[in-house]
Parts: sequence; structure tokens; C-alpha cells
Amino acid sequence: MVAVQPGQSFHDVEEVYTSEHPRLAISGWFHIPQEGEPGYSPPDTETESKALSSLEQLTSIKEDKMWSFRPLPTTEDYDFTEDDLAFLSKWINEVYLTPDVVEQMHEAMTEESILELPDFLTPAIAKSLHSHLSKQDSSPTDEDWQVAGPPHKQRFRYNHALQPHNIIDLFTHPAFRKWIYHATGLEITSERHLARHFRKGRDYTLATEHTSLAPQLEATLNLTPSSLRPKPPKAVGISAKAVFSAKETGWTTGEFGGYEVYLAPSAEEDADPAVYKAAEEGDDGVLLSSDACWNKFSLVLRDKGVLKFVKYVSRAAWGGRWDITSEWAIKEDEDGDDENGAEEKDPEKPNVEEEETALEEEEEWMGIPS
Amino acid sequence: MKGLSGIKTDMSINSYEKGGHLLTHDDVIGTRCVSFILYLVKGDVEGGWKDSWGGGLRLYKAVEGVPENEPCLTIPPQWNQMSMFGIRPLPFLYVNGR
Repeated sequence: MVAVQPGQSFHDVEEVYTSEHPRLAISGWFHIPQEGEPGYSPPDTETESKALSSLEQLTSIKEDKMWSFRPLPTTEDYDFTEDDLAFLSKWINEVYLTPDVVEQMHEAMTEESILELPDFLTPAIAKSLHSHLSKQDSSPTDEDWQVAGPPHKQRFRYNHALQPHNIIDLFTHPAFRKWIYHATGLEITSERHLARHFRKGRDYTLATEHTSLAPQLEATLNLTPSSLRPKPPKAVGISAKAVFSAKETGWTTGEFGGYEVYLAPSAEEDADPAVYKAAEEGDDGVLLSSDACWNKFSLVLRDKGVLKFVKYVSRAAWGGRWDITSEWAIKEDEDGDDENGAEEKDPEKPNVEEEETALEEEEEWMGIPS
Repeated sequence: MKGLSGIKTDMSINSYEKGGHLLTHDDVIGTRCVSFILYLVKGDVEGGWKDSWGGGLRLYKAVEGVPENEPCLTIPPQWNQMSMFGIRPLPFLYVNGR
């Protein structure tokens, strides 16, 4: 019998690395006296919720230190100049700069609120970035990186300048703002960007909700170098070629984790968080699930209540998940009630989550490898 | 705060296969007071469960209620081992009540 009491009860269960022996256990909880039992005292929900909200504040201050929204100057000029196009074509695959394709993107965005653009960066930039990140991936250095927490919300490494090509320079350029306008029809009013590295065997984010009423534009540029590695052929009787062309790896099967998921708001907001919810077949609420991959840019217009998380990256993965994540506040519709207020309003913090939601999501997702 | 409920206890049996894990959380839900884990892992292999197989219970220190980024203690599973820890913070009211 081991009794441990480190003062607080935060804990996790380390990933199981062996396929030979399952980690079988009975686990559960003893409870404090219930109504009618000696020692029972009625709940004081007010004190409880006060304490929880002060904890939320602490967490959101840390979140702001990591990446806070930068307001953009007002503009009505969205016409590309030659300089704009010259700048963009240094970075972005020229396909995504042709008027026809931009128009298609706009239509798709209007209909689906989701855009996925493979081979986003130019081959030259992508190639040199791949060689740099592959080296980083096999021997990561702590230089220039900080670790995001706290671990009951998230853990990953981050910085604000992914070298040697700082793509955040692209994202913060006025020409990119114009491109966003043409590709999505949305006018952005403030922004924040983060380069992230989810280390294998360590990192993840738990599902957080977009809490503000106004939809938010978000993007992920996925730059996971090891996703380009073909799965080594091992099956006897199947030619190496056949195996390679299948392009199925642990990144695409879910075995490595590291995928990013958008989930529809939960219908049962008042559900008891202590009760495990069984996922219903065919109704898992997944709006978008993107595998960790190479050089794909995903744009999502995220409504209030939509949840998002990055799955824990298994130690079995060939490397970490690398990406650049961006969030933009957008100008409200012209026919909205407070047209003038839209730009002055501080963008609300999208990552402040309800404690219960976090717990509920944990219970639902943790431990499930796929 | 003294005593445990004699009428409410819950438990489940669970099996973590390769890749299985549980992310950081504090178990503070409802009236939970003490967490327990009774390991039923392989006991007949030589030397028992190996640390390199993973699956350890990892504890995190918290500063002002916020857990640190890395665990401070790892307890690997062993056959027939019972691990218990008090849930902190207890639901606030019950602490105030006594």
C-alpha cells in the first residue's frame, strides 16, 4: 500500500509503451459523506464557483502572455499592388494566387466555412523548411523555445519565429491580409500567431471552446516533417511500391496521434461531468479532423461553442507535430447592429474554457488511442 | 473533514493497451474525496512490470492551484499494488463546513 499526498491531486497516466502487456487496473473514488450520512454538510456552490473563476483568470493571463491579439490598423484598401503579389508569390504556391482559384476558395469558404490548401508554401521554401525542421525533429534543442502549459489544458513548445524562414512574417504582412480578404471574404481586425512543436510522448491540447459570440477566423499551417516519410515496407508478398503508394502511416491512421479536431458544441451542456458519456456511433460531432501532415494550410471560421484540440502525440510517432497556428478577429457584418463598435471591441479570449467542459472532454478523450 | 461515505463509492475496471494514456487532471468532480487504483498488471513475468513499459501514475505539483508542466513523481504499476491519493482541493464547501 502506497499513500501519496503531494498537496494537490493533479495526475496523469503515462502512455503504455508495450504491446505485450496491458495495464489492467481497477480504479475509482471514495466520496465524502452524502446527504443523510453523519458528517454531511450541504454544498456551497457560490464559494466553489468563485474559486474556479479565479483559477480561470490566472490561466487566461498566462495564455495572453504567450500570445496576445495585436490590433490591425483600419483599412478599406484590399486591391493587390504588384509589390503585394511579388511578396506573396515568394511564399505562397502560385496556384493560390490565381484569380480563378481565389474565387473558388471564396465560394468554398462561404459555403463550408472550411478551406484546406495542400502544398501551400512554394516548393523552394517548403524544401528548405523541411530540411531544417527534420534536423530539429531528430535532435530538438531548447534554444528559442518555451513550454506552454498548464498541463491540464495543454503542453507544447512554442515560439514566435520559426526559423530559417519566418512564416509569421508572411502572415503579418499587409499583402496577406488582402489575400485573406479575397480568399475568405472576411475582413480581419486583429491577429495572433504561434509556432508550435508538439513533442512525441509528451504534448497535446485539451478541447477548448470558442466562447465569444463573434465567429473567429483560424488557420493552421501544418509542417510535420516526418509525415513525408513513407511507411517502411515490411509485409511479405506485397511489393514495396504498393506499400509506398498507399501512403498510410501512423500519422494518417491515428496511431501517432497529433491530429487536430474541431467538434460541434455539446448538446448536453448541463450533463453531469462525473458521468462518462458514451460516444454515439456516427454522431461524434467532428466538424473537421486534420492529420499532422506537411505544408497544408487549413482555414476555419469558428463559431461560438465549437471545440478544438490537438491529440496527444504518441511516443511511437516518427517525430513531433509542428505547425503555425493563427487566430484573427473579424469585422462584423455591415448589416450588424453595432457596425461601429466592431472594431473597437477587444477580441474576447477564445481559449477561456468552462472548467466542467474541460473535465468532461478529458474524461471522454483521454486514454483513447484512436 | 472527517469520514467517507458508506453509501457512495464508484469504480471501474480499465485496460490500457499500447498507446493508451490519460492526460493531466485533478479528479475534482462532485463529491469525490479519495482516488484509488488497484493494479492487476502481469505479475508472473520476471521482475514484474518494467518501468520502460510506461503506464506510470504521475503526480504534478501545483502552484496557486495550477499544475507545473512536468510531473514531480512517477509511480510505475505493480501487480496487486494499491495506490491512493486524496483529492485536492476538496469541494470547497465541505472544507468550510468542518
